[in-house]
Amino acid sequence: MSWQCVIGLEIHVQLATRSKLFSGAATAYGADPNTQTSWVDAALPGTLPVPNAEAVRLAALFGLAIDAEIAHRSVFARKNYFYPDSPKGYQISQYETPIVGRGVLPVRLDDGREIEVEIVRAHLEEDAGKSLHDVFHGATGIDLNRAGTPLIEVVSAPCLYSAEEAVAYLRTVHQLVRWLGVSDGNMAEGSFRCDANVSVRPGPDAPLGTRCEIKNVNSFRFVEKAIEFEIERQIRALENGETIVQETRLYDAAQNRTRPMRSKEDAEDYRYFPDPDLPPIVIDEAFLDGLRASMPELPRARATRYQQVLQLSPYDAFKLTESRALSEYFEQALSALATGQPSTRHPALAKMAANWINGELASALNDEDRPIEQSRVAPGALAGLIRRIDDNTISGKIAKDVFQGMWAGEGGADAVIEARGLRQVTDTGAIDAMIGDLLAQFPEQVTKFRAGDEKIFQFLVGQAMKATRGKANPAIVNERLRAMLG
Amino acid sequence: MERSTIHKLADLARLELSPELENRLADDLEKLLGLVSELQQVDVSGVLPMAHPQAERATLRSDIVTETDRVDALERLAPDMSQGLFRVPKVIE
Repeated sequence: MSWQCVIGLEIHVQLATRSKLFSGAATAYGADPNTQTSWVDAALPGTLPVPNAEAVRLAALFGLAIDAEIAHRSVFARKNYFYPDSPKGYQISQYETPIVGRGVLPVRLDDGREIEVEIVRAHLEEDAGKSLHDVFHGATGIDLNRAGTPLIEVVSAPCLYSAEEAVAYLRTVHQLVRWLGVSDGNMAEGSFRCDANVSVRPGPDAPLGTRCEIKNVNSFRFVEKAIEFEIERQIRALENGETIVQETRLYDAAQNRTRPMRSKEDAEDYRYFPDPDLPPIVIDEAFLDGLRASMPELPRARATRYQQVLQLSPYDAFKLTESRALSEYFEQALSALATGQPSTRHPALAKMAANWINGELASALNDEDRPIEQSRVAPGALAGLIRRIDDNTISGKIAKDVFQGMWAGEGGADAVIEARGLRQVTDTGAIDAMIGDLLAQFPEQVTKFRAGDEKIFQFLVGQAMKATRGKANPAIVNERLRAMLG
Repeated sequence: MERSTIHKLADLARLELSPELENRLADDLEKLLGLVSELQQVDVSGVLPMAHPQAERATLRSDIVTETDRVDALERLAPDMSQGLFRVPKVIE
């Protein structure tokens, strides 16, 4: 039988606000326990929640970016459950009228294929506190610093059909929320978490199978592995004639398997009802118009522009738009390069900039685990280097040495070229003299070449480049060498 | 009202009920449900559900940190707190 797996993701995105969703306590990560816990967060009697305008703005901004309907009137609801890290006995969430309705996100897979992922809704809610099980012997410690932190929960339709599709979608949401400044997307700090609903069925036309939910997997790699494991587990069970029990499962990264956490019989009964402490959130058209006007060019539109206007390859275009900071770097470098150049030259300059940014610069940043914002070589400086390749002052090969010098803080491209004496030799007189010496030095090879051994030519070019420590213009060396051998 | 419903509700609310309390609650809930079923007979087609009795729309606050560290005050209020953490019976799933 050929099984089809069906996956839906629930992504919790922590909104980039300074204060909490319903209180003026700080949301900064890593503070001492309960030092960012207000009376509201601790659910003291008599306190009332007041919604954070910025959280509403960020949620609506995300909604507009996925072409979703934004609710003009959305209502907070209480989701009732008892757990010590949720001191009210309920979580304030949204149920029937979420702020963001149905939307769609185009997703590009690694193999270049494109899928459209349907997003069912995204609702505003508050995060719970943290339970620490290993601080005390026989007791659990509760830190409410995170309680009340604003989240949006982004719920996809069950429309993903492989672990690969699920991860590509997850990455695209991650890219988008960071691009928009909706979230810092820091997975290690829990700002971006994902639950995966996984089921399998005998074929694409069969009804959906019973699903299991895999909770809180906090890296892209583990999401992929957890889903792959879960698909295999369910198929094996079904082929053995077992039935799948609807349950929540935890992924154990160390053992690469999922295990049951709790069954869903009772737990699902959250008894949602509108929160009487909170009047509806009203959003008018004027507010949305303002948001639309402030919407930056989105990564996908930008990648398309790079391909159509700058004629970059899809690989370069998508690589450069992985993050807004990287893309801004490219834009600034290109703008410096293109100044005073006719537009017909822009694609060639863009290609050079893309190669340098996705090549040398990316690997230098990677070596130091340094974000692009903290690059040791500024976009204008990189443009200065590329200009020197473009005007034949240096070869592409020498440029790598110049780049290393710039990265090491030796100054701009021109300063490094001068200080290290790397200017390319284009003076044909000097090159002729050097080739003359070379031919005298290797008479045997010259004879062989003249007898028809074409391989020798590359050897002689190599010797010429070596003699000038790479500084001779390769095109001129080729041309003069051939002329003088001929 | 079914006993199983009472037990389920008690379980969801994490309450342990004595048999007497259970009987009393069953009576009270029965009356409440009677009232609700009366309300349910009202024709509300075309009426927008009311989420809040007074305000038309929520007043939003600016995203400013206004609260300071209250951990000492919380410690005075909490029955059991240590190293800045509220101590509760062990909960592990």
